Amino acid sequence: MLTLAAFALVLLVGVPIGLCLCLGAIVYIADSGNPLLFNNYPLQLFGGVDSYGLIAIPLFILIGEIMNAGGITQRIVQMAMAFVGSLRAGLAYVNVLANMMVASILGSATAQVAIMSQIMVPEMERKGYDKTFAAGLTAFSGMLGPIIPPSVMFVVYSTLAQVAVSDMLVAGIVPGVILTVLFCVIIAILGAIHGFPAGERRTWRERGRTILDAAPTLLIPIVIVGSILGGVANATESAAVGAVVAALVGRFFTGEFRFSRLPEMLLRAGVYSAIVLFLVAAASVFSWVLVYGKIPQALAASVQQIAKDPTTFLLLVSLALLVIGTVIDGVPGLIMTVPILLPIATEVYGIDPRHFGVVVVVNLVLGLLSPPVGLCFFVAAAVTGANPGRMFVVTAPFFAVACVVLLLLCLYPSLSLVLLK
Amino acid sequence: MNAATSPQRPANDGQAARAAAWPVRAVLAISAFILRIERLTIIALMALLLALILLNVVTRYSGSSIYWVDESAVFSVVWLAFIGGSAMTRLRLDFAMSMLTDKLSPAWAGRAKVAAGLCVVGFAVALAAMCVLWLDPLGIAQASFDPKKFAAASFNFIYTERTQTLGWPTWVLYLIVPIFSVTLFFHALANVLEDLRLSAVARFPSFKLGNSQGIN
Repeated sequence: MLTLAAFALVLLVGVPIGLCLCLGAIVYIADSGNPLLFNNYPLQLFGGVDSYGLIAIPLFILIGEIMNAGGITQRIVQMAMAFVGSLRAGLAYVNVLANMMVASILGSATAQVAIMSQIMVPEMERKGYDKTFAAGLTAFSGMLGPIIPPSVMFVVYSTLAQVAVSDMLVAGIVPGVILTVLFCVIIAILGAIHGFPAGERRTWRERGRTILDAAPTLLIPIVIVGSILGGVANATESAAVGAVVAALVGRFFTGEFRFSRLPEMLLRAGVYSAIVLFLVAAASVFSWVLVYGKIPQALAASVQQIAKDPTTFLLLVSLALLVIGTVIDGVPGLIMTVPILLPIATEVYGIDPRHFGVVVVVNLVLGLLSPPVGLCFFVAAAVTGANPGRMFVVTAPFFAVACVVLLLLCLYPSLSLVLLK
Repeated sequence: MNAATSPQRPANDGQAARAAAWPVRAVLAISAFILRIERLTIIALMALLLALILLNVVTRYSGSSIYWVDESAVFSVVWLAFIGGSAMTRLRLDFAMSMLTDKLSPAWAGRAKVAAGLCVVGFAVALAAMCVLWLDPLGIAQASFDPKKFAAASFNFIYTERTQTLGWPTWVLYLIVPIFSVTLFFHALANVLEDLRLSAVARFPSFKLGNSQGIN
């Protein structure tokens, strides 16, 4: 009780979440009457990041940095335009399709929304789309970032849950594709109702030239996803090779990447990944004291009173995570909830930890798109100047569709496990 | 509080504002010095990590795997986590919940910020104390720095353990935790001093960072 009160107090005062977890663990040990645990505390903190799977995080973030500097995103958008740009509501489809392609290179929703908002929203506005809708659609399409591999959140989850990183990344593919398809269906319906403009007509020759120009950029997702699926490289190695391919494509095909700027990119990727990695270390200390205090077991006993079967449990978890996700960002949310919920999911309800990971990640990513915090909306708003509150209202159908996908995931575990069997 | 220092005027590259009192300047200067070293170390560790993983891929496909590469890469990431974790504190990049503090008046929000900063300072001190318990520097000194003698007397095997493939003494790698507690202390204290308006808020253009939006 004292731990909970201390944790809530420091959290509300504005102490960084990682340190809230660390301080909560200190209060717990002080209250437990076993001061010997203090001797082990630094080792637990160290051990929290002493994991091979976590190596992928700095490398995936580095790919994003290189991609930005290499003008690769622009080419991907152009390629999506060549495919679907001339349809009615063409640019809206381009937004979703380009986001799906970028998601197969980037692993972060907020980074993706920041990049894609700069490119897609002005373009859509120029063609007559409402800026708020364009920014909101970009934010929702950005949620594909952490679901389609590579994904920083899946890597963190795989470390917390002790499952193979490659399995987690592959488990996100089908849910990501379903979300993409359903987003396109919503665009078609909204396009018919609101009369979204058709895009520019392009001749087949122009399309062919655009696709040829952008084709080398596809090497990056092909190398990353292909090497994982083909078993040629593990997730970590695929990230390192992906970074090299991104640099080469940026240098020799787009010509915008400069090797002289690599130290700056390494620095940014290092700092951003340290933010996640330190959270993982803090979570490991916190879950260590939770296990010592048998907290998950106590919670499991109460949850079992309400949820009698795995589906009810997953629905309950989804509801709770949607609420948590509205106030806590993705990775911190993962760090704070998985150590408590995962043992219950796997040991009490026999849920596959990989399926549980997909449900948790989709939930928390959806939290990035829900008021009052909705980080993705704020990022899109910061880049485009659109109103985040209105953005949520005009994109409500996308939120509803994402909730439907979440429901389907709770009901049908095969959606995330199909490619793993 | 030094009224001569304007909190609106940022100092460059983390340099201490000249108008602040000398203890404040000293803390800010130490923090800035640490941050400069952290910046270079982060770049070096990231480059090392990339090189190690690529080396692993190349050697495996050429049929001459180097067995210590994975372990080296893991320890590079562990050091990266703590060094970057310390730097992000000074750069004020870490995730915090601002739902309540956003709704406070500027005066109370300022007080909450100072309180949060003091909690971080307190954690750094507590971690340093726990590292002393863990590494027991006095104990190993009393055992004449003989790891076996120390292990026999204390049942603490920290100085006899070695890493699995590199064969390095693990305590050397563990040193990053006490180092982190010290660097975190100075960075957190520097932040508190700025929040108390004893010095201008420093900016760090050499990091070329926006905000922590690259990670979710």
